[in-house]
Amino acid sequence: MEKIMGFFGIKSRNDLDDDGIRTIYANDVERNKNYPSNRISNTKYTIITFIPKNLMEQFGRAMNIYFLMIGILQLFPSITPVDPVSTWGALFFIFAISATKEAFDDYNRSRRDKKANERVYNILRNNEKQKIQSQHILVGDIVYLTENEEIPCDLLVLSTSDKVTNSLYVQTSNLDGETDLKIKYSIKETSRLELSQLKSFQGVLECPVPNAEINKFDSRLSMRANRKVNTFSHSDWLAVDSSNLVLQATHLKNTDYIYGMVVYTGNETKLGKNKMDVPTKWTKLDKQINRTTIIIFCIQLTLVLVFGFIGDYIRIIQGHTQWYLDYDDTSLSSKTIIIPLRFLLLNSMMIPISLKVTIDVIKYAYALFINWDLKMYNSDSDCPATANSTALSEDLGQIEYIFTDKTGTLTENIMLFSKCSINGIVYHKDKQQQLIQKQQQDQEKQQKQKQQKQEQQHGLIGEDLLVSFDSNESLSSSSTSSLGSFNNSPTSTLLKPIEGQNDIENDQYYELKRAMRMGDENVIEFFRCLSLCHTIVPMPTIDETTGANSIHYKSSSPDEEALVNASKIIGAKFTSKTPTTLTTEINGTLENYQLLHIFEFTSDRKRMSVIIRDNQTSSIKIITKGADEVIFKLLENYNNSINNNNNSNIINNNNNNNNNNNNNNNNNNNNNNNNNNNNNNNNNNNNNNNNNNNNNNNNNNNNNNNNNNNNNGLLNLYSKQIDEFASHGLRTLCLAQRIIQKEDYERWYQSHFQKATTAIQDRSMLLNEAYELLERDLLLLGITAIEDKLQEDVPRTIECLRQAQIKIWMLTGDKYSTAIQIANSCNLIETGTTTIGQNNIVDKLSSNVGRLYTIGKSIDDNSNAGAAYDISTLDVQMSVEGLLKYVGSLPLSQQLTSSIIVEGHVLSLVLMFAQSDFLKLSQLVGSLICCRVTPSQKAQVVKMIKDTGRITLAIGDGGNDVSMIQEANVGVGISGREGLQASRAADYSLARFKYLQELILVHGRYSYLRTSFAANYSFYKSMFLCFIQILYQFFSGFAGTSFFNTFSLTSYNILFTGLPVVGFIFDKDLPESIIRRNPYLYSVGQDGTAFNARVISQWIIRALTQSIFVFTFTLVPYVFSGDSGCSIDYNSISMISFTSIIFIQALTLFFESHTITWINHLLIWGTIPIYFICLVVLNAIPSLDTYSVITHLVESGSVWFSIVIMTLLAIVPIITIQYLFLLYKPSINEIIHQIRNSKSKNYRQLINENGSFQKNNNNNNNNNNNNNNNNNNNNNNNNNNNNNNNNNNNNNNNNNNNIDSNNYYYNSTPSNAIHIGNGNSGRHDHSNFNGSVGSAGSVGLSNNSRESTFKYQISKKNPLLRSRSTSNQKNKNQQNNTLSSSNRVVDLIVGAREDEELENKKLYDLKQPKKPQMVIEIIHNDNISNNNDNINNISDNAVNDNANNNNNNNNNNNNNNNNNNNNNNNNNNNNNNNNNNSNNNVIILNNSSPSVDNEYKPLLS
Amino acid sequence: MAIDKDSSKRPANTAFKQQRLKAWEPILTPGPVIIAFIVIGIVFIPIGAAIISASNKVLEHVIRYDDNPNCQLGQKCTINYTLPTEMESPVYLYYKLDNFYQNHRRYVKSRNDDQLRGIEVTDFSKLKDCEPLITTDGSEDVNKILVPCGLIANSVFNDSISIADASGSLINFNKSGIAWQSDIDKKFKNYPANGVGVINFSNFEDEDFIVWMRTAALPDFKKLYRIYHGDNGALSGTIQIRIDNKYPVASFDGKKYVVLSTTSWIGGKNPFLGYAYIIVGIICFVQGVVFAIKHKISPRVLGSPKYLEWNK
Repeated sequence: MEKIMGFFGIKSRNDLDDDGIRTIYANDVERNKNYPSNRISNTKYTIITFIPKNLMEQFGRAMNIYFLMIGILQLFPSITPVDPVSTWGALFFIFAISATKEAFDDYNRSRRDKKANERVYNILRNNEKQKIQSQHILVGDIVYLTENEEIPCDLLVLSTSDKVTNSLYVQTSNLDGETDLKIKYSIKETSRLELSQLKSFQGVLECPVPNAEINKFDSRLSMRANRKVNTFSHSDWLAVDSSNLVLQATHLKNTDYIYGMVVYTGNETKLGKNKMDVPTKWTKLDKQINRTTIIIFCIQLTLVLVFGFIGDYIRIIQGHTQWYLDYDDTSLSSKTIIIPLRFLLLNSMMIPISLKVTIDVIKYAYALFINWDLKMYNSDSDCPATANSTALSEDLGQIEYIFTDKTGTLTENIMLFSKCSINGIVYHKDKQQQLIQKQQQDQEKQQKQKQQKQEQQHGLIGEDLLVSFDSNESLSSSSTSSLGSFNNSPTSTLLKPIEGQNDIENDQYYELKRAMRMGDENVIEFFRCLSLCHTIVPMPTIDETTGANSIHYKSSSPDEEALVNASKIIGAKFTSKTPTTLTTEINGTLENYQLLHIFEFTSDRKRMSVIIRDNQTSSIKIITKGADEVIFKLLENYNNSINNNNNSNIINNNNNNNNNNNNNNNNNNNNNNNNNNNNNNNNNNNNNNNNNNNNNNNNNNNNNNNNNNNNNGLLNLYSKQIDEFASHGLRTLCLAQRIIQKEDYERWYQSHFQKATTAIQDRSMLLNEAYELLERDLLLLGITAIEDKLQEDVPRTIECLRQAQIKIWMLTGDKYSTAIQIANSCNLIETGTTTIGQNNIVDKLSSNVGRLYTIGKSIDDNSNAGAAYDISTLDVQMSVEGLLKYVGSLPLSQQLTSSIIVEGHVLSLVLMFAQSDFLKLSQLVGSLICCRVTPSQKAQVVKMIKDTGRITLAIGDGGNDVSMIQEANVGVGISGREGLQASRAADYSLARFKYLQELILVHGRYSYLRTSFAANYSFYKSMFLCFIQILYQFFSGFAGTSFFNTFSLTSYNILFTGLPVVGFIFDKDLPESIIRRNPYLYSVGQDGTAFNARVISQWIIRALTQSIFVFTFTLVPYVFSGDSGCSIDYNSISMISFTSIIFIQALTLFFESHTITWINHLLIWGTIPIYFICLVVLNAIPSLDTYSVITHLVESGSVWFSIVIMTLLAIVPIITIQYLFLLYKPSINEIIHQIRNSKSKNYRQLINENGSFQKNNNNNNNNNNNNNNNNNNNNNNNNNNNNNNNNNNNNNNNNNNNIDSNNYYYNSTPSNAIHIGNGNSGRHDHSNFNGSVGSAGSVGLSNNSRESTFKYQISKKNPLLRSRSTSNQKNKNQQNNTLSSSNRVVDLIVGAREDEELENKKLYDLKQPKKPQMVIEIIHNDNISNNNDNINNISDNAVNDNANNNNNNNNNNNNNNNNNNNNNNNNNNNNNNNNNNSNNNVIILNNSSPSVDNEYKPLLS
Repeated sequence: MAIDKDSSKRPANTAFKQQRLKAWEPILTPGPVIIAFIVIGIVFIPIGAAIISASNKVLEHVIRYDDNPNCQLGQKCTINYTLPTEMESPVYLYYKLDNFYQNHRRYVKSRNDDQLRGIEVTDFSKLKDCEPLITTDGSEDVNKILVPCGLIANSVFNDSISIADASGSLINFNKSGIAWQSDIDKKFKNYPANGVGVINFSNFEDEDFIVWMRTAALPDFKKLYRIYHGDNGALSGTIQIRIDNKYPVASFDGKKYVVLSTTSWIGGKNPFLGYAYIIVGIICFVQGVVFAIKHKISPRVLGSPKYLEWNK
């Protein structure tokens, strides 16, 4: 240190900061004068540097350099075929646009800077108080700030208004987005200083040079320092750290005033240093376009060489004969280069100058559309989606991999204290317990029903069965329940967890509260520690309504908040905190503690500790809270117990086997099943409790002692419980403590801690070492389990994204079993995986059950634990290799339902030693989970996939996701509770995970298609013109004469084609509603079908043929009209072609558009009047070449005929080809369009067309009715039932003919959960639905339910979805297969069309959560292939609408007047079922979450 | 439109911002396509026929004279030509050059419009247009500027052609009206007689010159030379074409012709366009009919899910 000081002393002032230490002299302007002032500048340019700097930047792009080169060449008159304006004009235009945008952005930045710079602050300088502008604040000044003021620069707090605690609060929302208050402290010694003393304060601060580490400021301050260098002793130094530093742009809160010394100023502040340039990302499409550009450039060069050679050859051979050309030199010479250069210029159009600017403009529009999208606006947090990057929209349309964080991204990150285990006794939050039980019941019921169905109809494979149609309540509440998550009322409880908790306080924690009151020492000690070990700030507030005092807790960690809140409710109420004391109220008695130290939580340490001294007993103890794997290692008896841990994971499996048996036995009655399951669960729980109690009793006496052999058993139990908690998706934390002997503490304090805190270098490391000395030999008090709810619609979204063939990987820092549980509940892995206890029922050998493989674990190992901690490299390699072989040998469908889970410690080995195998493996399986991974590992995994050329998207919410977000092709941040760090670093920021669906499937897909078209079209239209230029060379002696005049070349690219194609930002190849309902349509982007070599060549061929037609019909009337020769002049001829080209381009754009809004109309057809206006102008100016050319052309009749025929000839073949393709080889999009656009009658016909459907006249009549009256329904029923009769030959059905309004029939018999629906055509039912909107009063429900129906209808079981990868699995019944899937598609499409209509009537209410999900699934069995008639029935049923379905469902459940009829129907159908096991068509009504339980089996397998 | 509160970040619910603009979806369906094809056929075939008949009415006689042994370069000669049918006035007299690249990159640009407008141009940077013929000797001497400069103006076709009837009396072919009136009015003005430079000739308003200066688009071109307005009735029988052959074309294999032509509403003789119309019309019509028959016999209902072929 001395050495550094000495070194420092002789340093010149100019490089004060060079050796990593900055010395600041308070109140000494002279000595600090080399530090910059507090002027903030975020601007890129100044007025003077703007033009050169901006130009430099623009010419950084290769394409711009190319155009500059062309432009310069054009300046040589002997080379250029046309006026230089043609390039320079366009170049200037493009530069002007980019520059304007830059200038505008920069202006906004400078305005913001100016505002900040000119804010006035009070400072102390030169012994007096003065007001100056922020920008004039200097290092060493002392700033006086009052409450709510923004802090102008980084300040070392010298004193605050709070003289007792020396504390102050700042809000850092500008910095990290966290809205809670952070406590900071002034330096104790300086806090006493009076104003006058501060004015003359002469301290010296040594601090690090400006850096970006926000939470690190290890410095020292000397108050008494002699200002001469090197003459003060060590003891003068006061240690200061980041808790004494308040940062620029934060706000002072809850504090009257502070005095602070300026440490860092201007752009050197922590904030300034953290501003970093977001790494530039290029989209895949950008790269493809660039590659295409390069290829075209090569083509261009080839042409240049070929034509240049021909041109020069002609010049040399014939030049001397053409006396009128007056060649002075016709030999090979330096002038040989001129003709090739001319061709270069002539062909320079091939690379469209407008391409970049067009694409930039449309990209900007996409970003705006994303920002504007109401469907991605979260009204709860008032947070719209934000596109930080305007350049990446196309990549959104090509996503193949999504990497998602768990906490805060998939889950709400709202923590609720759910359970705890104290001494092995598990306490539940009571209400929660009920829910869990209910959940289990539901699941078991489902599975049972499924089995039952399988028994009854062998070969019939069910997926999601109707779970709870038996009561009204279940429809509304449990319909959304998804497996393993307790997500029953999505928004109401999620939004206000704390208040909600208070409201139902009385029901909660009953056991625990009783235990507290009863004086259970273990419980009391547990919650005492819980209320002490945290970093929460209590904010005493007075309840406005009751006037009672209450305490709110402010914290940056939602976990801690949940724990302390819970302990407050239970009876250990943390009441106040000062920097040195903690007060907690246990059962009403206040206990005071002296707070000695807080060892803060870091993600490396994964734990935090407090050291406190009890004021009464003055005993010192350390309380540590942290992740189990960390805490367990710190326990005193850890090493003894570790060996016993491995056998502990079998409990769940056993339980499940029990459930299994029960389920198999209970096929008769739902109610019975419920009861049985309840019993079952209760039994299980009882068993658990009994075990626990036993353990507890055994261990009770040993709690306060240091060591006991029985602890091993307890530890085993704890670890079992942790696994169990985690398997319910709960986050667990361990709480441990140790009494520290006073002497030990003092020794530690002096020898380790003090040394560490005053160290300037490596202080954190030293501190960590010091902490570890105390954090050992702990005694485990208990385990807390915190529940983190899934965000709404997460399973649905993931399901949808997976249907879109996107592989979703979950990368989480959480533990193995929690990760699996969450993955399971949000559809990330196929349920029924072998490691999960709850769904173990399904036969593992069944081909469609997903399996989860853990790397580093044997394939057949079903335990709940992950891979061993000390796994060897070889094991990992073997495991990956083995899995690769094993999974590779599975049939494709099984591969896709398989999942891989890797733990962080294994992953690091995998990435190092088995990456290629791992990569192959990961591409085989459906999903992959990485748990316990670090942020950098997340980024590594993303990079691994990204490097294979796949487009990756990373989504996360916290600081730990930033590296992953920046690594991925597209980074998405959730603006969540963990601050805005992620969403700032991200390219897109969303409020909710579910909006990802909209962002990717809708915006991404559209953007990709639109940009692809714009690029294709840009190349095409440039080629078009270029080819004509080239063709003309054959008629102008290969000398490089330009066919088109300057006007045409200049205006064509930008005005006549560049602008209209921008209108493509509105183009929708399919309506949004269809895209949303059919996620597999997303594959266009993934397959890159819209922009690839094939498509580009098609466009180029089109350009070539069209140019030949146009050129021919321009010239030929003059060339081949007898022998009389051409009578048209050079200036006129190109105007014929160009006029026609304007028409052709407008028509091309028109026919290539999928949707044409009035803006498109304007842009497309607007070119024609603009062109004619231009013509008039060109025709009128005598100095132009084109003067009066048009007048003469107009007079010539044949010109018009030429224009008409060449335009037609360019367009008609395209239309013919399109029409033929449409007829004989339509694309999916086209089919969908056709179906959508066919009239309802046609639609009806096409349904009939599929087979020998016995057409019933009534059907057609019904189709035309939009009424929802009973008569129609009657008719429907008649018809349907007739069909049914015909098909099934079941006379019983005749009884149904006159029953009201039932298209669907439910089997009320509990033993049969299958519902047969006899639907009418989709059209009709939809009309009914529409008609019922007004009267039924259930718009939202029906609407939502219907929507979800269609969304899920094409689900995993649809073979066409998998067809891309499973072509070898086309099965024998392909025809039927296609047929039924087709009908589904038809259904989806028609449904979507109704959506559209609804949407147009503006019926979507975004505030309403999308609730119940009703699903119609069509399932048919093998018999179908034997019976054509049945196919008809299916196709008919396939299009049933859900609205009626829903109504009926309600009717049924409400026991309203239709009930009798329903029962009749049900019975009849039941008979059908029973009598005809070969009943072929079944519609299953499913109102559980559709994705809950998808054991997928392919149709007709 | 519907913004909850001012402070809300809720995006506006407008059709534009929500991409819900009413849009028309053009889609090809058999009906319109078939109808369009048939209509095109029905319209085009008669138009084609009309064009052909109009074109056939145009009488055109092309007489090459540079290969005539009597008409060697530098000679005056007379060619007797018998018109098989009468030519109603107006009759246009053209000269035609083959293989002469007036549209050559080097040639087509080589002119100075200001100079042709009678303005004395002395700025060599402006005169650069005239490359390679700016001054008489290539130097940058103002007094040696060629008037007119440039390749075009210095290679004016200078054969003279006149037509006489069988009896040998000249038929009155008019020179006026052969050039574009707009060119005469705005683009060409006589150069001042005492203007700067070496004046080859200053009579830029000469219509033959103006016609020549409007460069042809293709290497085989004809240029209007004289018009016969019918002072002596229709041309018929044998005519004498008197030529003063001064213009060298042999070096580049050029050919020189005299063209006599009448006109019609379609312009000159132009059968190609008519045939093209008829062919295109027939193709469209046949296509339309085939599609219609196909549609009738084995209708393929658009959008039938039968055609959903997913396993591509």
